[in-house]
Amino acid sequence: MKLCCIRNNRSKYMRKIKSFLRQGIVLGLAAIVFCFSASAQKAEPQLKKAIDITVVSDTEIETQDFSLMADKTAGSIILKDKRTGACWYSNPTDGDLQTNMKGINKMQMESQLIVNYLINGKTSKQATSFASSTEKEGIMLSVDSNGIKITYNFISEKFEIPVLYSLDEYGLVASVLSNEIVESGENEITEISLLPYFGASGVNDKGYFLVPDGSGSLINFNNGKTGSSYQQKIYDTDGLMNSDTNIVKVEIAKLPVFGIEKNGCTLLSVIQTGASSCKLMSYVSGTNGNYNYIYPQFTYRQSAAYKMLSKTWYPIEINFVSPLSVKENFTVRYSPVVKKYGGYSDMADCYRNMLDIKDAMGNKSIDNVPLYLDLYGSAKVSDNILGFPVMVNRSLTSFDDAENLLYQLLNNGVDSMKVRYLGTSSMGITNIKVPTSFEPTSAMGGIKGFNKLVEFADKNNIEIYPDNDFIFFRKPTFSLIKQMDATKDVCNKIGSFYQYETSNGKVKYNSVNRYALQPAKVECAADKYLKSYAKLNNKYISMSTLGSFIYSDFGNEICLSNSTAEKFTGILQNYNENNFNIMLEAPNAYALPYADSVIAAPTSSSCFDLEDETVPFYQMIMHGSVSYSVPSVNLSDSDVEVLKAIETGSGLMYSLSNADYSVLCYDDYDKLYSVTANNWIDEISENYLKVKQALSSVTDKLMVFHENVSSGVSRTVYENGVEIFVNYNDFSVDLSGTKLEAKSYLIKQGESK
Amino acid sequence: MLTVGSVINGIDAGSGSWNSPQDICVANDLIYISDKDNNRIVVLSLDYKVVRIITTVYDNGNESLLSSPMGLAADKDYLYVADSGNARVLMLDAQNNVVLKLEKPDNALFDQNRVFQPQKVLRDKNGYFYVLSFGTYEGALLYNPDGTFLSFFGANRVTVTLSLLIEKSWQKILNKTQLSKVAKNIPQEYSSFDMDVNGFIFTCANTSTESVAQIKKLNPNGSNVWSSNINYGDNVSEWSGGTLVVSRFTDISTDDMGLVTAVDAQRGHIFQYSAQDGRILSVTANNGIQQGTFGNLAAVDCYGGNVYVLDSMKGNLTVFNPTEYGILVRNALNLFNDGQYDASYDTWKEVLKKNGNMQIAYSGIGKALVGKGEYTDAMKYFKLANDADGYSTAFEAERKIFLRENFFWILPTAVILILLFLITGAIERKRKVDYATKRYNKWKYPFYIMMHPSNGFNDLHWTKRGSFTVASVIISLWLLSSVIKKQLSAFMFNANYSSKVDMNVWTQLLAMISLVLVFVVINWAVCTLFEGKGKIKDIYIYASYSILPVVVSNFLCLGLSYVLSLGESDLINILRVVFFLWAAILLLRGLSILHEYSIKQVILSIIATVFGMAIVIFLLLLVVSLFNKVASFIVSIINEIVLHSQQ
Repeated sequence: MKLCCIRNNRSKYMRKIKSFLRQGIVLGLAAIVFCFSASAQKAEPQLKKAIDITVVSDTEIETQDFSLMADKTAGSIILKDKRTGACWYSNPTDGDLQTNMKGINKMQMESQLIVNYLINGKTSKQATSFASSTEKEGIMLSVDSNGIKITYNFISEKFEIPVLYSLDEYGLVASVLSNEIVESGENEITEISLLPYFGASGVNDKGYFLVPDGSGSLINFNNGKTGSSYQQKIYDTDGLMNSDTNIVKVEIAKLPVFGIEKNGCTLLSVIQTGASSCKLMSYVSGTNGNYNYIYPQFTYRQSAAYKMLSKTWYPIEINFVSPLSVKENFTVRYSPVVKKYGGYSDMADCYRNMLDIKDAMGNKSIDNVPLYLDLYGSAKVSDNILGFPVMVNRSLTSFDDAENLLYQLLNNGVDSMKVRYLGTSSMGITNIKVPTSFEPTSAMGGIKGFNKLVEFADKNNIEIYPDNDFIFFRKPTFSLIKQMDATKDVCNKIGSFYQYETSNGKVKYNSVNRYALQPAKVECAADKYLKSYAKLNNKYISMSTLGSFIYSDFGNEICLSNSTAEKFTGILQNYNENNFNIMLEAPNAYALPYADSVIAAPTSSSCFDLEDETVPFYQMIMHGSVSYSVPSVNLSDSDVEVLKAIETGSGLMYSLSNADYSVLCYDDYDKLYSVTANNWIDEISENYLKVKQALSSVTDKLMVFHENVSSGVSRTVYENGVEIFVNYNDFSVDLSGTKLEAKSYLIKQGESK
Repeated sequence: MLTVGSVINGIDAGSGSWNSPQDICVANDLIYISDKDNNRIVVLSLDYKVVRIITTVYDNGNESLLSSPMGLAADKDYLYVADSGNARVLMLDAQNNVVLKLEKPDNALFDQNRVFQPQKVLRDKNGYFYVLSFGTYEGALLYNPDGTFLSFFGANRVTVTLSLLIEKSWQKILNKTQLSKVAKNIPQEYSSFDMDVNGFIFTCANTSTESVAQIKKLNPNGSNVWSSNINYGDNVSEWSGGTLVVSRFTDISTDDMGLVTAVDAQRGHIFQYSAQDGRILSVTANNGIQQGTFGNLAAVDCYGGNVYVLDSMKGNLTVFNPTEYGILVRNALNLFNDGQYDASYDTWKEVLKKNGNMQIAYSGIGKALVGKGEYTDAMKYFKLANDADGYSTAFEAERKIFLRENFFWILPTAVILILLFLITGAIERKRKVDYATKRYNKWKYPFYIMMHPSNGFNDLHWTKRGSFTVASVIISLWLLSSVIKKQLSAFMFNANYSSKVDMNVWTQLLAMISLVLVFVVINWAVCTLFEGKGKIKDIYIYASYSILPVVVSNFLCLGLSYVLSLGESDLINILRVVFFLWAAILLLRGLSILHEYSIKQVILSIIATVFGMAIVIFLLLLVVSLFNKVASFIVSIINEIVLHSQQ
């Protein structure tokens, strides 16, 4: 605390001095970067088919499939799907329910934008486009072949937010033009909610919302859970905004999507740009009036409260606002989906087409369901030599041990394996420094041992992915002190990642914190590592955190989370171009196209109170294009992970250490309570064969339909017509004549639906 | 050990939403829920569909409405309802007829000014009723089977604290009016209870202050069988606004498989204990906004292996199923508690496969191995379990075998050694007279002093042969032996085995060295005042020489720890005390000779020295803490300046 604050102070002045010196260089660099990014941006749209937009009138545009009408005075829009005739309204239009809405709820319902702003950087307030713009005649509308541009002028709050509503092959594209936002006066915009009531459903409508929580989850309309709401940040909250209490074990929203299934009409919404600053919000009827609604809220400017202890022991909060606002547009694509199978399966189909993973993966075929293994290489454990406390590196699974282990599994019939090897360097499984080269310890067997293992693996259809964490560290790699390597949060203090007590979720007292490396240095480390690793003849590498974790850095050079994501995808691309097969742990959407294998894809949602059903939406996107596994079976709390694998078409995953757990039990490795390899070999092979048998006919097929037939019974259908039923219940169920035993599955090679 | 099975709210069940439900009782394949603010009891089937709803009962044919029903209990024929709004406990049959009514006792034992607001109810095998009423700290109200009040049962006791004692003394001074203004210390009242098949009553307390013995196992006499100085709640110290946040148990339930489940409304935790000894087995769930997390845990009941948990804030019921691991632990534990260690061996192995952190599993395997006679392996497991008693048992058995097998050479060796010792002793004694004067060896001399304090120190004093080097070597040996003893003593005598790795030798050495230095300096200062003759160097040498018995005892105890079992540990303790006293006597004698004091003077000087040391240490600590305060003050000022300048 003490150190970092003093440093902050100093760096603030140093920054000013340095900035003069830097300006020249920065300008030059900026020009180059700009050229690159411009060319990159240009390259992107070329993939999409150009769509001709016809201007029908001064408030209406259309394409072949869709038409879009705007209201000049209200600022509202209507999207019509010409293929089906279905209409989607930005604000509810059904008389009765609407008139019952009162006060703030009515204002929000009539609005296209809800804006949170800070006055003088202190007081937080909310403004709605209806009250501040529509009612005060602040709406400006212009139409051209790009689309309908509506500028919402918030008269009394003194800011203007332009939104471009356009059409493309999939439907409506609504885009908050961040660069054209005008603020004057002391008000600073912090969050912008876009089209909060788009596709809102009243108390009489039937259907559900799809939310990307974990594997995916459904919120049924009018489910009566009025006491709770759904609020989830896409790709998780900014890593540096971590709180002092963290008790809840939640799954992360990996995909920037949400969907609405309303009376048989399906709408898929995808956050095209600005996903990393987006939070999804949803409420059911009864909470804020008569409507169920879901919308994205974008963070335009990050702010955070810094807690200082006061005399009374209660903390006082001081607000900090980011000096830099997000410069990328907030774009959401609302795509009406033509009914094929119904519901979220169609949404998955539509999203899969948009993502086009198969293309990015170069049509690599998947011909089996591999077994995923986590092997723990070595760990730092505390020891005591005659009263002198020391940390020693202890090998848990040396390369020889690994070969032995894999050999046993091979003999038991496990014929395809993907191994993620953790902690091969002297840093152990807790990343003490960020790696810049591949350096297995001699106790592990060194480079020689590794090569021998790889040779063995190549012969036996096994892939060895040494794991690297380029983000988290405890001791600095590039600089002398961690303050120079670590990222800073909005309050300009070093962002540390705490460990939390399991019992009350408070920050662990006296624990060693982790820090996140500055994104630019992550790039640097990954580059260096690539040079070292490329000398070996193993073409597999795992980067566990790189695809699933993003953060902003408010240090000397501010890097917001969207640029961080860009940098990280750059790294992944670089490895891909060097012909490396990358394994990622449950990657976010932006990293998904670079993953060759996905380890530990979540099979469940966070099960928030508001949610009603868990669905494998994430898996439906990946199946047939990317190979993926369930979270570690032997470290999971759940007993049904094997059945889950069969339902979601995933490979199994186990975490193993050759050494007995008792080696680790005096240190901070409580989470690895059941990793002793010897205990698990038989069970692994047995379950592997079970899953292999169940999924062998569908490994490279798309998962086209999924439903939860009844409580605890699911049905998954693949493009070749194969249906897999899974029963999680303790009792057998009857499936139109066929009996499905308790805790088992059933395959129907049937006619396709 | 538990996993979320289903989450059901009133709408799912088809009864309309529940409003602040307070208690749940599962019996006869039915789930009874007291929907307090809706003044009704909802009865569900085991697949969570409404079977019936009780709002009206028939008292002798007259209709009577329920009002704020709280506690529920049920057996084969009857349902028992704490109808708190109507100040009565009802015993209902299946047709909602009132069979028996318990009301406010009109008995001198029950303070008539107090309200009767029944919270929970129980009935034992013999038909006696136990009722918990709000604000009744005397314990449970015990009713006869005919519904008449009998007495109180099993009161919680007031914990004796310093403030309580002070208050007691006030009570003797103050008059009645003054006393009435002083807050009374009353024992914690029970928040809930449950009875197991053997007739033991388990109670829990919803208290915001106590963090020991929140849970009790009362035998039929009303006394606690479980340890009453253990914290049964969360083992963390979390402070909020200057007060400690402790677990608040709102309900407790037993099952017929040897587990006790209690729920904590503070953090939304579900605790499971072994009914036998209160050993904590698992903690599940927490407060939160997910399914399987809670807003305000109100009640729990166990039935058919599942745990039914009621949340009064969310108004829902969460059913937890045991995991495979949970079932294994339960089975193993039952065998273990029955003393069937052999049979539990395989189950414990399975448990360890799933959770390498389970201490009792290592202990269980150890006991099974003792039964099989595999003592060496058993010792290994006991060590992992940190179970000194078990280790000692295995060690004793192992030692017996060793002695039996090697008796033929151990006995002659021992005899020879003893003889040798006696002979050398005799020779030494013969030499005794001239040893001190003629054949002086400065390394052997401390040992001579040890055996002959008066002669030795006298000689030392007059001949001035005290060696600084020898003294320092003795001190170093003392430091070394202390550390070695801590590190290398056999497992059973090394209570802090698991924290051994955390031991920091530097702080230990620093403490010991400063102790010696402070003693020497203060003693010198004190004795200079009282005309002592000793110089600072001499005091150091004399004190060091006197410490020698402690060094010897350290090494001796270290050796003995490998030979003795835990039952014989008294020998080590006695030895330690004897050698310590020996050292003390040496010190007294040495200082009295050095300073030329009488024995009375030397004792006084030592007392003064200890007093002086206390003052010095106190001052040092004061300075350190003052420095800390100033430092943190400066840091927070800098913090504030930095933060404000950035705004």
